[in-house]
Amino acid sequence: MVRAASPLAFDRVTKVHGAGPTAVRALGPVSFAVAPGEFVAIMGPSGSGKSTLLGLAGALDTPTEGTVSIEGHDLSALTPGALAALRRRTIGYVFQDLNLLPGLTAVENAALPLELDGASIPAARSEALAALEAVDLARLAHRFPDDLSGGERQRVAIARAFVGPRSLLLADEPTGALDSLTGERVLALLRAQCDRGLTAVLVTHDAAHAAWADRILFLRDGAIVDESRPAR
Amino acid sequence: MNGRDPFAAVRALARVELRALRAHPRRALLLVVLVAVPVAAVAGAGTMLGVLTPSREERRTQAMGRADLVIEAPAGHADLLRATPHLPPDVRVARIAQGAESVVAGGLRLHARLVAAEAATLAPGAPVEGLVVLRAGRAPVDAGEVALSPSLLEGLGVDLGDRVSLAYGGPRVVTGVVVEPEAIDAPLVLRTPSLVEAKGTERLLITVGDPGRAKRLAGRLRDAGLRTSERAAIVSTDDAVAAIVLALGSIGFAEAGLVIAAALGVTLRRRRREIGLLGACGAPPAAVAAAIVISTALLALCAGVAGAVLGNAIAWGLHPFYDAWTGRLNGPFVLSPGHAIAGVGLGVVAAAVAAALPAIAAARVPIRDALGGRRPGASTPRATPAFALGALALGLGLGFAPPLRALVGAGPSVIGGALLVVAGLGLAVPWLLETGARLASAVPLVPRLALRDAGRFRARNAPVVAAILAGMATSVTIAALIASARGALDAFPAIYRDDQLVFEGAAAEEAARTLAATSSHVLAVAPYRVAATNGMPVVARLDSTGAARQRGHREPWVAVGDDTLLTVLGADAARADFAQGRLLALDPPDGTRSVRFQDGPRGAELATHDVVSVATGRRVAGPAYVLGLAAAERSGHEAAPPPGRGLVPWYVRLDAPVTARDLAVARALAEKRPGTSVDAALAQDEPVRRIHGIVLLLCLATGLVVLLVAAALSNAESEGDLHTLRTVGAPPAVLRGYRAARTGFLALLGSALAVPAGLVPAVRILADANVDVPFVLPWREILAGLVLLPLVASGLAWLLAGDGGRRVTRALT
Repeated sequence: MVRAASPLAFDRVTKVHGAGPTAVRALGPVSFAVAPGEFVAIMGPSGSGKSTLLGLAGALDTPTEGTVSIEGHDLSALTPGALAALRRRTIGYVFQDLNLLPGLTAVENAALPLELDGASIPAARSEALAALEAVDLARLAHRFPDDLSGGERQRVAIARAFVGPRSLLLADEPTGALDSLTGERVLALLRAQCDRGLTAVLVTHDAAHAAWADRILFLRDGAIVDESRPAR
Repeated sequence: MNGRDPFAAVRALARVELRALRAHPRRALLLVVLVAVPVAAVAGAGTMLGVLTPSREERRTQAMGRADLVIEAPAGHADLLRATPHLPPDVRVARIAQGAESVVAGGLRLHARLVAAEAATLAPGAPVEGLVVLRAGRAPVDAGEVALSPSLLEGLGVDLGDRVSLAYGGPRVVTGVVVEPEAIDAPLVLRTPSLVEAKGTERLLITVGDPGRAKRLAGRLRDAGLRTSERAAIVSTDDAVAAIVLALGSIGFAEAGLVIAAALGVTLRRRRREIGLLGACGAPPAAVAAAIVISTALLALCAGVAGAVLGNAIAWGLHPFYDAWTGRLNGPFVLSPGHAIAGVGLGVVAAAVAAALPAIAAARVPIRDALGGRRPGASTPRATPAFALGALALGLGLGFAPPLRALVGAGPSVIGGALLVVAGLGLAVPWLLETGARLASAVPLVPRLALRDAGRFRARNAPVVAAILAGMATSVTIAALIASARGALDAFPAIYRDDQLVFEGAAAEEAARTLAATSSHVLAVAPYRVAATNGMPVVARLDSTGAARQRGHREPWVAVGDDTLLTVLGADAARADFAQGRLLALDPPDGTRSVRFQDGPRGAELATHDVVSVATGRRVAGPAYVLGLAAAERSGHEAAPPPGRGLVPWYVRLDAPVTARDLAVARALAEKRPGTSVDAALAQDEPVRRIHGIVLLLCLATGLVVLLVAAALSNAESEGDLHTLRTVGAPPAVLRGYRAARTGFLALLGSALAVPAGLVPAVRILADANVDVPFVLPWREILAGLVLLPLVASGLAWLLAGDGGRRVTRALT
């Protein structure tokens, strides 16, 4: 069931790669909606369609069938320019690695969506610095990614993902390349942002990490097979 | 294990490399093109120029046919009689006369060069063979026959079998078509020699057969007081042409090598994990690097051979047009194997050297980093700025420090200095890119991304900028030399007055009179004829008792004509003296009072004449003296075409400097008359401007190709960054703008560095020149490089940022 103005909603979404005898159904049909401020974890084994789901949610890919909506807007009805604007202003994305532009400093990476949206350099950097402070990285603002540890890079990526007025954060195995302690720190950050009103969707194969979420959706072979709400 | 083959690893890895090439043949395409094209250019140009450039034997044939000795006979028959007793009976002797002739047919009278020789002496192996060449028909065998050149036949409207009249030989039947090998379009008359030749100069061509005998005979003839030339004494060849082809080709190979290095660097970075696996399996780093270099060299060898074949095929395909382009008989098509081999060799060396550094860098990445796909951090070796400064200092020293120049020599100083300046600036590029990246913080996002990317990937971008630098520096040097020469030409006398048009050819008079009849701007038309005696032009030399020593700027001929000639030459002020039959001297050196007339440039003295000096107000290289036609005839002279011109040119003087429109009207008149052309001072620097335009276009085109390859390579390396930008919502315009700005920045940096690199050798060459040529800054060409190249390159990179560009990127890497 699609709820109006839900930060993220999937309605009978299917994704098929290829065509004819080599076609592979990567996802679907799936339907779910995320409430504002909700932290949802997507779990499942390798090849279950988790990353495909997150790519569709982040408007990085288009569904073969069905509708993906962000804040009530059907993504398939938006122009490429409008989709880009959505990614600048509404959606924040965190990958497992290769999140940052190596040629920009930490504060410049965090300010990137704001600068792309036309904010002046001083204003964008000021907000980015505030975001870095929230993730306890303000002191490393002027370092380049090559000079940061893996955990520090992920925290910069998270800062970029929620800088500005964005409302939806999508994270694809953000702790996959990190040690367990650092991973816990990253998830605590996500949780803190959700407690402040941000909506987040986390893809993970680690149950301990999924336990940070308000709701867990289980994927297998491209379909949602179960749902649970961890005790908090 | 004993007897381990030390090269086994290299061979095995080379097989792996070659299989990788077979699996991804499009990766090889870029290298193949970068090697094959310059090889094709060197091989093809070398072959073409080999055919087009007269060989030593051809030069000897130009001068003396097949003869071993030539006796000049200025005294005509008397000299020939003096030579006869000294000639052994078994030598072949041919008497030949050369001079000027007029041919009349159908009311038209055309002037031509004359060669008088017996038909038998033109046969293969005979002494005169090669001096003139029969294209059709046969040589004349008696006084009733003549052979004419194609231009004369066309101009007179006659053909084989028709009758013409010679001014000095009466009516004749045209029996053959004859040309001069070195000037197939020039008007030429071939007839049999007269018993006594009243005009022209006579020579005896002697075929001895044995060079030693010929030398001894030449000595005896000289002892007898006869002017004798030997075939063996003509030794000049034009080796400079071969050297120029190879020098220009080397620049092309250097640029190709830089781009190969950049492309290979990208490819090897993409194959990091694969190379890491090889290391994990025990492959020594040196063997990995050697295998990459060997496979690149082998591929370059194949590409070079293909290029050599292609270049020579093009040269062969164009062979039928050589004669028309050069106006001379160029002989059969002959391959130049030396240029082909040198081209292939240079291509292989350039590719191998270009592959060495990226191969060594790739092989030295720690195995764990390579397997993990971790990119090694970019760094500029600390010593690089020092090397750059050192090369720059040495290059500038060779250019401008007298002790260093004296030590090395002028020529090597110029070349070595130029190369070192380019090398020094090229070595400074990584440091400049790194500095640009560091200083980019305050710059807006898109240019900041471009600067940071350029600095981060400086290992790949530096060779690209260096290639732009080398190519555009060549253009700047040539532009500076041409701009300076053109500026200096103003100090030299022009060939014509700026208000003159000159018609030449069979219908020159008709064209000139038509222009006079249809234009209200024509002041006068007149033929330009010179005084001649016995077919040789009269040369006027300054009388040593009177004149100042400075050199005049005019030709030493004596123009003859009427009042219209005075107007055409701008000497109306001396009309009264001219009417009295006095000799006028146009713009003579101060103090000139009299001149001596000579019978030809090295002829006997004829008479001394007082002159009336006339100032025309123009520095032009026209005739220095003017005499009335009647006065010339009274002195025993006749009117003939000026030396070097078979037909009398007609001058037209306008009432204002010739404009482009005037020239276009005149050209239209000339084009309607076959064999007729028009010239003016305005048209003189067209070839120079054309050459310079071609050079500039070639350099811009080369720069663009290099930059587009660089853009494709940049796209390949920054796919991850582009993906990140897309996920944070960068609009398509920003993505394209980033890539365009990156390419434009590289172009701008290369072009900017090319300015000092190109000006330094130009300043040095001009300072060393024997003529006073002040340096002129070619600011137009510099602006073109600084503005046009970056703009066009950015535009093309913008356009290639779509799907088409991604396909190109995948193909190249």
